[in-house]
Amino acid sequence: MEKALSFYNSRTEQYTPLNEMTILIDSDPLLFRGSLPKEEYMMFDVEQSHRPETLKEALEILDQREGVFLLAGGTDLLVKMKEERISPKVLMDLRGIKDLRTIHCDREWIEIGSGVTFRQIEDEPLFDGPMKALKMAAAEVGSPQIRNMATLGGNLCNASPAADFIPNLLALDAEICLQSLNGERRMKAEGFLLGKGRVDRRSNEILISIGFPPLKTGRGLGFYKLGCRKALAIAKLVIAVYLETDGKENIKEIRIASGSVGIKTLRESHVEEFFRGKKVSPGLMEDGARVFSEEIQRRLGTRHGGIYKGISVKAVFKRAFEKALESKGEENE
Amino acid sequence: MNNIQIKLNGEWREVEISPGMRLLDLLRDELKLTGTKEGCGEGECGVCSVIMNGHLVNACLVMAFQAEKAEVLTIEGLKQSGEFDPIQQAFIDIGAVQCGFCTPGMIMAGKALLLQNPKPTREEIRRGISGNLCRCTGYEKIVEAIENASKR
Repeated sequence: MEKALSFYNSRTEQYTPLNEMTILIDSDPLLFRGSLPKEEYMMFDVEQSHRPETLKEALEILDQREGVFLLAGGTDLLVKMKEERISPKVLMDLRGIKDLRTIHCDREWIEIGSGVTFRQIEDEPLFDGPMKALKMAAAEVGSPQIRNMATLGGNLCNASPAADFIPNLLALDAEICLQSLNGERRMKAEGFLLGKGRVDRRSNEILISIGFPPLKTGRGLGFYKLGCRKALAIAKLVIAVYLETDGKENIKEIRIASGSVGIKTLRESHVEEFFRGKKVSPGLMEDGARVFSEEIQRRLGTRHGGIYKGISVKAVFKRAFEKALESKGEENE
Repeated sequence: MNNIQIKLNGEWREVEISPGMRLLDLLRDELKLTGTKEGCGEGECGVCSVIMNGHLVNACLVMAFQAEKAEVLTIEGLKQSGEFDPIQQAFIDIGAVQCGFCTPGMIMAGKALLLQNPKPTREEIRRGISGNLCRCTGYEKIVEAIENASKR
């Protein structure tokens, strides 16, 4: 059977392996998945599923039961289940909770529900102006199918070091909000990420929203992703830059976040330090890119992809920086 | 085992599912709707694409219990009263089918795009099918077929 499926068939072999395989399947119908009893072919060993419609209901389930896995969009969770890296017995789907799927905005604060999909962010007119980096980053996630399911909250809690969207959130110095029956807990998104696949979420908590202030005049956000191809590419390098200048183009504040160059999405404080207080110029950008490159080379060394990333980081950073400058120039509102 | 209500290809049905079942298993193994294929099983190839509540999704990345009260459209639901959907006819007329394995997913991706954007540009079509792999055609004919369908 193995030989038949290897497709090393040729006319000289007279396709006998294929013939043999059909005979084999005929003789033992259990080889054909469709004829197996249900328990045998079932993909996952899940015993219980929940689909709450309110946050309160969800928190109660979480409080009462042990080992509940939260299913936000499922586009990472189901892959992990398939690869048998996790095998949840109890699944709770959060998609039914409408309150988690909205974006609130006023003059001082934008709050995105954790159940908002990347598709929603891509289509959100709020992010048309200076914050279009968010739309661009959302559009880079997976494929149309994935973006229709995958959520911002799921992306954060999955804590992939190569997540496309998270660098923007760190560059915006975003705050996250966790809810449990005992109350709310707020913290910086940066502190929430502990490492690869690890976040500071307690087992009775649900991440409910991510918030940050809207960009005002003189502030900009830029983003660039380097991947192997346009769709479904895991990022080789992602960089987001937040820039704030005074009237004379002196950098008051800069926040740089990178993905795929560490155990988690990181703030590049060393590079930020280099920029602070200096005047924006093409020369400064070049020098900054060099500082960044040295930092990455030091961090990754000759590790797989280290040399490549050490060099390409310059170009990726420059593009993100230029986009931040562009976005800064755009009028808000 | 529990029962869910699902509006499948325009018809409300009650089906029995188990909590470990994916939407894809429900469609193929329980309901015998084998037009939706299983390829990679992890959202890379798009061959299991179906339209759920108006959105294109990978049926291999959705659990069956999540489809409760949802409207699901599969390739079988496109053919209405014996007539092919314009997009299916366009795939035939243009010759966008080679081995055919990716075709159901491609057509669903094209259909989802046209539902939301009836007159897409070629670039938008390419983006629309960017989650679907085809190893035969080189995509040119597929893009052409979707463009053609948008004019019908």
